[in-house]
Amino acid sequence: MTDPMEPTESVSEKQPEILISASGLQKRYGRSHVLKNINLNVPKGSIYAFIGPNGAGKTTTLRILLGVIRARSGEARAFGMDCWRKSYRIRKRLAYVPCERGLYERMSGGQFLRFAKKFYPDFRKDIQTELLDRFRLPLKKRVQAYSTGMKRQLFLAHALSTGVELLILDEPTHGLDPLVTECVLAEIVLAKQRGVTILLSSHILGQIERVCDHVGVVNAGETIFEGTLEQLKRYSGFQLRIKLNRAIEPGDFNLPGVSDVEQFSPTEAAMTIHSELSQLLPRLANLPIGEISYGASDLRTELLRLYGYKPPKHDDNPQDN
Amino acid sequence: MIIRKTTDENAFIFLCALLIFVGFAFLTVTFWPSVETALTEVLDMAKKAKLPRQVIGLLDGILKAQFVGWIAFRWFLMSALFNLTLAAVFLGIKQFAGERSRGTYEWLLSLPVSRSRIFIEKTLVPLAMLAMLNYIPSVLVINWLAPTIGQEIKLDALAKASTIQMSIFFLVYSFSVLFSVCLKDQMRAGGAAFFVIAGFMALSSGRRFRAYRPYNPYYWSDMPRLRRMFGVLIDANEMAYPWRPALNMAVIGIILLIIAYLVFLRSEP
Repeated sequence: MTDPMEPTESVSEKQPEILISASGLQKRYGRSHVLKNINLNVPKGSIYAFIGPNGAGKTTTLRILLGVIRARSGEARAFGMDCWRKSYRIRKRLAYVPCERGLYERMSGGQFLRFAKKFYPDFRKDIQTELLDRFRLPLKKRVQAYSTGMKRQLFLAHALSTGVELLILDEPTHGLDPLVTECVLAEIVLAKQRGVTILLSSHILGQIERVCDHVGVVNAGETIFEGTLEQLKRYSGFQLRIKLNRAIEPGDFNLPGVSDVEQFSPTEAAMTIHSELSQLLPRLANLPIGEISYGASDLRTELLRLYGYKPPKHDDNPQDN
Repeated sequence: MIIRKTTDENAFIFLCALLIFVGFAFLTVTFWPSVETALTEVLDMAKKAKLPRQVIGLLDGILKAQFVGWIAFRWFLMSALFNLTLAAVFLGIKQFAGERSRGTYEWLLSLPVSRSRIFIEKTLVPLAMLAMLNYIPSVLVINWLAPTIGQEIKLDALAKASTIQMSIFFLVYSFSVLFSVCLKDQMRAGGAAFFVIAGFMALSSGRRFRAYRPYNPYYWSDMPRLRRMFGVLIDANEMAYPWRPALNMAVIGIILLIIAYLVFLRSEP
């Protein structure tokens, strides 16, 4: 049994090359302190998910990394170069898909793709043709007639075929239907296999779990976790689920190293354990255990815990009324 | 690539302004004899009605004027003044504030193109359009309109007038570009540009300079109050030498564009 707090993935002997690094990033807009302390290390060739609630500072951080805006303090580097001072050199090696608007609405889809591809000398026409076959976009129509999902598809069809080393995608699957989402996720994985590093921000945890290997969690302008997906799942302990042969009594799970006990039914409860299971089992032996399951927390649980989420308490018998 | 996109985007404004010019020239050629007759009658009526002498003077001036005076300097250039002032403001504010309003500014800045190149390409294309819009009417006047009306044209005077006029539009355009870079959206930038133009008109409308009509390019290029403020523009007595105010306005325009460039290098979406 491994210590839950210790990363289970053995640290590779050869440290991965860091493509993007940010440390102590701060940014203010007037009185609003948007970024307080952002730290980020994106290994080369990885798919890095930048996760956080709305307004946490994800897009601002991506903009700093693009060299579009300047951080108030801290350091942001990509390809070993300063993201603000050498932004032109960095931008030559990356493609960006913004979260919000960004397309020239008066252009047709085809005109936009022809216009945008001219900036990238290593443009992969074969990839774009394949993507366009799958997306089936009406390229002769003006972009303003496109739906939100179609606009996103157009952007992705461009960005994924630019042939650059780094893709920065701000919520790439936002507004896409499940079929296209699948296609986009598959293309992201294929891009990774071609050696492209992908930094994406997203809210959709299922997709992050499927494609990403590194995660940075940000809340209220601060990085609260950074590491691999496995490390995140084991960040605050393992999940233990127990079903007793009798009704659970208060104090049954009042054991050292156990927290967040949640009772599902009179006989079933889940809890987080912070010590090794082998140390805990002798103490649990006194209980009439029917079933027991043990594993890492799911991503959603971990993230909610990191965000400091507390479920609302509903009073069924309000006495004030 | 940005040159092509900027050209495409601004082609509509360019074509509209050009169409207004050509239409204006066509109407002038077609209806000039009737207008001339009508103006004579209007002048007689105005004299009988004892209208203010400024109005009578204006009508009289129109009828008595000979070329180079009327067609090139007044009629056409007056239309150009207003048409191209509008075009200069629209073309100026569209470049950067327009991108912000459409939400495309961030993506534009993320392209693998240096900011200097973006600025130069986005600024020079509309300026070239403005120059074309300015000089095309001159060519029209020389080749088509003046012979039709039966008046002689002095090429040097027409070229000079057009160039002076171009300096005015360049100044207006430079202000618009500066506001476009500094302000967050198209409406604000446009409002600020029109506010500045209105300010110029107010500054140049003192009693001492009433003799210079607003449609006279010298009138616009004089701006004596600005001269007192900045010590750049020439004295009103030197208005007989039109190259100087034109040069001054060009210099101010260039300074404004340099400021806009420096702001753009650090601008954020």
